[in-house]
Amino acid sequence: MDLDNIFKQLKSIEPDPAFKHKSLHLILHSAPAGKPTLREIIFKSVEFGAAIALAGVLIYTAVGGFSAPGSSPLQISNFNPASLKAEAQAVDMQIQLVNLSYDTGSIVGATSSAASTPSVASPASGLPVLESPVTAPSSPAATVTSSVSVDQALNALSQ
Amino acid sequence: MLRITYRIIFIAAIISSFLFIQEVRAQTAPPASQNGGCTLNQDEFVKLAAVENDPTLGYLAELTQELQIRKELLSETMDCAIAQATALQTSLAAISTPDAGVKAARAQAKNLLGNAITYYGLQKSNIPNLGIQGSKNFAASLEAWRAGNYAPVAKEASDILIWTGNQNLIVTAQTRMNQMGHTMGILDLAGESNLTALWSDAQANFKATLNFNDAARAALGNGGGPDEALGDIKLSLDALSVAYQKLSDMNNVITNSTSSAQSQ
Repeated sequence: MDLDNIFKQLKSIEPDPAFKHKSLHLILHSAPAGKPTLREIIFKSVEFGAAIALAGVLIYTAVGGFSAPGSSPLQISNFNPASLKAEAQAVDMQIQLVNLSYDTGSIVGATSSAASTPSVASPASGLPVLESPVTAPSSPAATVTSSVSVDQALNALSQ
Repeated sequence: MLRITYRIIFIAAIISSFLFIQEVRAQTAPPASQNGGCTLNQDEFVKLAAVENDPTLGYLAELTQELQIRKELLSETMDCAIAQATALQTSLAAISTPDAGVKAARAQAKNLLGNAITYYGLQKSNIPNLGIQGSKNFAASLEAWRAGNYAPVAKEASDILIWTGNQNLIVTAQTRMNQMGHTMGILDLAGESNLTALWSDAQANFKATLNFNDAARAALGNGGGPDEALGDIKLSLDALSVAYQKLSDMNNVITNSTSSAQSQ
């Protein structure tokens, strides 16, 4: 084999014109690797932080942190005593609120022993009559040390 | 392509964070004040007694000062009554319920509270014209009117507020019961006699919770009266409390079993 001929042929080898043009275009139009701007740094930081936050929320959701209808978290929080206790305490607090209503007659401190159905008349049809029988006050104002309810105040002022 | 995915994750993170914050805020929101932030100070009434019992005051001076204090106290009391009714009305407006009967009861209670506020305003305008005896009669009549007319409306309104608040507790408890049911199946715990008995009790009490809750809803919706609704609400919550106690006992049994298994 004549090596000189082979080398001469190799010298004449050229790339495909289309490939040559495409490569040249890519090289010339690639973005210079300069320093990032302040805006890019801030945006990247926010994006990174948001991604971390999303991961946290997803983990929280996965272990049953949310109780929205339709969600189906893994039942890992099922035996979490803290969350179970918190839910039970919320029920107990609501019971205390109801008991307060029982004790005072209403959560606004009214002393009711009369009508059992709402009967406030409309001003258009005549205002409620004030001359209805006076009910005996259950707790005079003198028994309250710091503040008095509206009914206790009215009772004290009627004396 | 990677950049677009990154942007989607970014938007999803913002939405998720917003939902998370809303959830936390909803769980930690304080209950609405029912007294309108109004407080009648006991000291003001002590002043009235002091004037009545002051031997240094002449007859006319005593009458003048007593009347002045009585009018001021009546005016403050009326302001408090208006503030309380307004606070209840605002609280009623803030709640949302899908139940048509409770919605109707809420609308009626709001309307009646509005009437009461109007009535208080009209009555307050008469205070400057009162004498001492007139102010006493005014207070006595208003106290009686409140007992017969306002108190039932206020109780009805508070029942609606409490019942509506209970629905969130019951939804949470339903989720908890569903989870516990799945766990009983997944871990094949049905063979544990202690757990089975506790689970049956929890289920029975939760069912009672739902039944009493429905009864309270019906009482609110069909005008059964505030006392009937409040009684059902109380029974419902009592049953729910027992259900949670049973779930807590189940939790203890499972925890103890797990600890024993690990130590062996």
